[in-house]
Amino acid sequence: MSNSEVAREVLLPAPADEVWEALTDPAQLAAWFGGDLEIDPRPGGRTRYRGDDGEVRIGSVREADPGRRLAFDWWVPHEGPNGASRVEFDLEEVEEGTHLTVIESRPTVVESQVSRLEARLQQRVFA
Amino acid sequence: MTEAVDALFAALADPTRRAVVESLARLGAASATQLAARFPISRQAVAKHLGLLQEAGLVTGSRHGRELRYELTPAPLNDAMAWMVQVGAGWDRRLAALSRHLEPKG
Repeated sequence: MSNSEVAREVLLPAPADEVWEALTDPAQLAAWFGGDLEIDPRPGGRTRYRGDDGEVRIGSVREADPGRRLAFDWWVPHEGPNGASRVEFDLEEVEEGTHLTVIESRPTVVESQVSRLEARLQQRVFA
Repeated sequence: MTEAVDALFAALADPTRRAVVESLARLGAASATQLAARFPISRQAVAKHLGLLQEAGLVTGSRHGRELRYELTPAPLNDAMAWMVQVGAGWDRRLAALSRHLEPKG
């Protein structure tokens, strides 16, 4: 199985503990994330997002290692967690600040296309 | 920058398979036999390429009488690209804002 994946890297002008705060503190998230994001940064913690455009997502934290790594799944409520994408933040403190890697991934579209085809076939069978 | 849709890109890495995809785009639908007539390779070899394209979700086969006809399903590539472009642009915007947010004040 393969994933569709988007990866970004950025060098941030702050130590890792400050970057961690910026990733998890609702007041700071409001300043940069775009929309309201709440993250309860512990495994199993809830995430809740409402975009400026009204888009809503809910999710669940998978990993939280303060100052190092934060990973959560998020999804559109009516699509459910099977349509989730995974967001992974990895922090590495360096001399100039903190190297942050963000990866967002979701199961390959080939599979979602297969499930769409199956749904279509079922519609045909039960029509 | 990104790593994506391994199966799709692997399927399209081969020049013969790209040529098969191009032929299907032109013909609309074709059997392995019809496609083999256009390439200097056997029907079996074409069928093998079609199998890989089908696994990658780029091609579907449907039976018409005794014949198995293949056609393109461009949706997966489009969906994957659209998702990557949209999600990537979102993170570009957010990370630029985060970087500004963390800049030393004053």
